[in-house]
Amino acid sequence: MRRGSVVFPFILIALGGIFLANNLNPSLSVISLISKYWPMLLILWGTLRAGEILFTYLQGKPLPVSGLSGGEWFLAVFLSFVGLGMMGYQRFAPNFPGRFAVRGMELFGEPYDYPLQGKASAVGATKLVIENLRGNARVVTADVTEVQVTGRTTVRAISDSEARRTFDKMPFEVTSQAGQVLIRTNQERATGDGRVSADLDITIPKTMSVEARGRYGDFDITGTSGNIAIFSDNAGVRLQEIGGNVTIDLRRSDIVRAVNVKGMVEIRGRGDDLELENIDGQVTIVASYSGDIHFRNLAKPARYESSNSNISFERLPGFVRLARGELVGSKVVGPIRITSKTKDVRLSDYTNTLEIDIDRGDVELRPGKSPVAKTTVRTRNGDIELALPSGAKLDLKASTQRGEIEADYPGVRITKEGRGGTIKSDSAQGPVVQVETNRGGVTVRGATASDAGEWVEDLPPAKAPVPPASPAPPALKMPTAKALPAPAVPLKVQQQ
Amino acid sequence: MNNSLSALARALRGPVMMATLGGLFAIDQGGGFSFSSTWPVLIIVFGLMKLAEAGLPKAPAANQGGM
Repeated sequence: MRRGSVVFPFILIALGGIFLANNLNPSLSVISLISKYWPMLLILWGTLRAGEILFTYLQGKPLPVSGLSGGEWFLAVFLSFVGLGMMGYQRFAPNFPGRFAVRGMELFGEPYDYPLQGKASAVGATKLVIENLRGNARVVTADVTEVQVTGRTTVRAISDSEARRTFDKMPFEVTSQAGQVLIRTNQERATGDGRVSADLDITIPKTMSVEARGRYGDFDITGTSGNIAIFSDNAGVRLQEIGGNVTIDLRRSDIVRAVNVKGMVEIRGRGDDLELENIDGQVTIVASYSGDIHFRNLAKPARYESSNSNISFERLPGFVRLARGELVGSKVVGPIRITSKTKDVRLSDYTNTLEIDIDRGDVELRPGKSPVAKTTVRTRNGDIELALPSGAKLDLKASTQRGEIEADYPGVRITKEGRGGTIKSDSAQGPVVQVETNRGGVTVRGATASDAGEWVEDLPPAKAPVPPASPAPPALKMPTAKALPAPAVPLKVQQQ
Repeated sequence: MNNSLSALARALRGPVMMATLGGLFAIDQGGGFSFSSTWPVLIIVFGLMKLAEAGLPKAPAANQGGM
């Protein structure tokens, strides 16, 4: 970098500004900002340098031999790569970095599509097994006695003939044996398996179970009364109207969504968003999902265990939503247990017993109707607010070791001690409600009309699932991808 | 000072290429022509800059910028 150039400071300011904007307004994503505006950095950089040189020239000072040093070009090329990568990432999968590679792949050749078709009798078969390393699979049911598959394989290759050779190595198989129908795309037989993928549209009889294994690709399954088992390194999963049990084990995922499942749901692994709605069976989630987690209408006990939080309850006629360090829930039937390192908890209309133990986070409780559930709340650092229904009989003890204490409810009295205090009910009848914080305010008040129905899910109700794009009518050759020449061109230019 | 227009063109080459490159990516990004079809513009711009360098007077311009 040239001494005295204003460009580098400008770029630092721009970068700082972007990160600051991101911090102040978390809904702005740095990645989407950079992926959108990084070419502007190059333009700005070049223009500023040109301006500087013109200025130097007009002042009559000695001009540099070249306007940009090798180091600057190196930085620019590096920036281009990062920018292009982010652009691809945004374009192909705004939600998940796993698809970064897709853009990279397109550097090498063009996509060639080949149609796939197959069927096998499903008489006597109870299970469909899909073995497709890469690509999406959509499964629907119909009154049929055979499994029907259509779809396409996409091969990325430099030439038509190379693509054909690769495709020919991967025989598409739909076979029926030993009570199961097996769909295999045999992608492992093609070298460099990153360069092939197969999208499948599958129709199965209504009672068939589905087991799918893959490395990368979405699964969309609707309408079967059988069980579902999905194992993948990276997948979005959407399930609807499933009669059997669901097992999902993913190493990475942008979304898992299951609606109207009669059986049990078991989810392991990791991912971003998770939505479960109208589940009749038990729900067990031992997984780490970092995005929005949304449960609605679960008829049986549910348990969620991640590295940070453990949550369980007996039944959920309402909803529970976990997102961005917050748990909001309404109409939850206990026993409810919530343990977490950091989480704000807001619960309304809960019944039976409630136990909350968090290290850091505020707790806001609105039990709703009388009698109030037996409640034990403990937070090490955070405020607690309890809005009790009028005339509730309870044995209350609310305390803080250090913080404001406030009570606006008949039949309770405040004792201040040191820097904290205690609120106790005059009578010790009724369910025990014990809330305590080491550090933070405690408020006990009567519920007001405005408390009812204030917490609503701020997620849109029951998003329509977005199915993976249906395979387009297969064409033999579809050179659609942009073959991006590496931005090494300017490097060569500079060397001359 | 020994600044000629030719030297100016040479010094401007890098920055102009850089801005062009950014512009092409911005067009690609904005949904216009893709970079895979517009990259020859870089060669053309480079050629034009070289041409300017060769065609403009090499001697220090007496009437330009001299102190």
